[in-house]
Amino acid sequence: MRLDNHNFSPSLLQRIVEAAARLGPFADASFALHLAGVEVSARQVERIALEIGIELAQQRDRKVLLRRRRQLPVRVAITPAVVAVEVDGGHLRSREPGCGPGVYHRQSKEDKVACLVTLKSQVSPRDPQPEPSASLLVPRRVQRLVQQIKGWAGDEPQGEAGKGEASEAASAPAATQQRPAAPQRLVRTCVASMAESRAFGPMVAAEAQERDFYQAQRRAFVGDGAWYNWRIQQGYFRDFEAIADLLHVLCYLYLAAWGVGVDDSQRWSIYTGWLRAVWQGRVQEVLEELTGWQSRIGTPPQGEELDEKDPRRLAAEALSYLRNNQARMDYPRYRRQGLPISSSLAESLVGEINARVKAPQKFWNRPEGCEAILQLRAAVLSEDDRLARYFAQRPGNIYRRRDAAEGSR
Amino acid sequence: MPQRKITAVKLREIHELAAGWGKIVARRAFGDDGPDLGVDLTAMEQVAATAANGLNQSTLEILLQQQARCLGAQQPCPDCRRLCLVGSEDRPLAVQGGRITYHEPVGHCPDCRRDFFPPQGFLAPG
Repeated sequence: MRLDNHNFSPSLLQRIVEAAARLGPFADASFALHLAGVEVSARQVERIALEIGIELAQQRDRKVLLRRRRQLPVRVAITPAVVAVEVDGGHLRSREPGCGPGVYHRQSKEDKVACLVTLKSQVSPRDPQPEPSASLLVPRRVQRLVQQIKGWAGDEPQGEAGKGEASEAASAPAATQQRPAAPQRLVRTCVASMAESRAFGPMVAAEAQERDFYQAQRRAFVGDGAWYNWRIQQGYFRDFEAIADLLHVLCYLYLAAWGVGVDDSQRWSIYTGWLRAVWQGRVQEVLEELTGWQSRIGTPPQGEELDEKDPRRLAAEALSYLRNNQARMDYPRYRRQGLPISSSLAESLVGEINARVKAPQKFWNRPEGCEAILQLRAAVLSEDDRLARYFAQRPGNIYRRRDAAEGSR
Repeated sequence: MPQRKITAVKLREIHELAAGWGKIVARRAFGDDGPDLGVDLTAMEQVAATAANGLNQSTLEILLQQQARCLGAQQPCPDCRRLCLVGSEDRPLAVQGGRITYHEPVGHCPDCRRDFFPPQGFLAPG
């Protein structure tokens, strides 16, 4: 029968878990299930979600072990042609469990999210898009993007540089208006965990192994500047093309330009020049220019923490970022190979995960609660019927608690 | 034990059979002439949903009883493999479309001093 301690059939359990993973508070999931004719309390939804989330984490860990022993089979029938692994991180709030009702010892914890996608794209003999996308040349839009990623984006652009999106997009060069076909996303799966990078790498590798990513013809690993991304890439995706996320590069360029420029029009002009150079693979030119600016405005004093808006700090950070990632910024070549140049898929996946796990009044028990909800959310956001497959194979319990068997709960 | 799936053809046949019973339900609910103009769609939905629930519950209860009979009077204990008598206990179970009472087969091993719930073919130690 594949029954366990809960008095629900396996198909109803799957519905309960899916509702818990998709809908906000457990009370909302309980209400949605009530509308669907399933009577289950919010507390019970929470208990079941936690239980299944932990089971999914255990299943994932077993796969990691199998991969290490080289016994993890490939799950897909056809080897994909183009694949990308994008890694990013988010934050969720946690609390100490076992302290009674309420939130005790609250902590913000980083979760790690990997987006594994198969793509459809073509190899081109020439760069299919030699000029930057029009959207990266719209001041308001760029400022909003930088604000989202870095938390602040200088002052609101004024005058010419502060023109609205519509007028700016209309005045952008004609070449930038045509957007050549970007790599098209086919199937996305997701790995999410609170684990540190040393443990997270093998989890992503196991998922990639199951999807036969290592045999794909064209492979990319996209990440921002976080050191652990490149440690994962070096450890488990060495044959993948390592690509530094263009959007993070853009943020550093924008903020450095904001720091060194004297007015909005000069700042915007510096930014667009640098962006165009980086887009076209002329990173060295930008490095030289930035080095010139740095020597003019001065370097950050040793051992002194400068204000985050200090031009010396902004220029130094941009220089450091570009130097560290220069080898991963050959964007024209990546475009010719039909590979992604930004981690926008991972960014959007993190947003989708956050929509369930992150809210001002939402705290998850450390560590099981956090890990469990991430497994459930990752399962419902993966386009591989992960939950249905899991429930089709989930065994029941030979033994059950007496009260469960007697239906007294 | 391999889990057998019902084929799509068989499921279609069952759907047609159950659809035929709709006439019987409609006649029983509103007579040979059907509902008059005073009956709204909500009331009709209520009749249909109740009929579907009843059919659902009775089908599942019968199927589960029939399957339980296949177990025989004795089953081996999952731990010590000693043959133990199998009885049954009523257990409320939420299923798609409602709740049923499952006369769940339960064995008791006097050596291990614990109950177990066959059939074991689908099960793993919990």
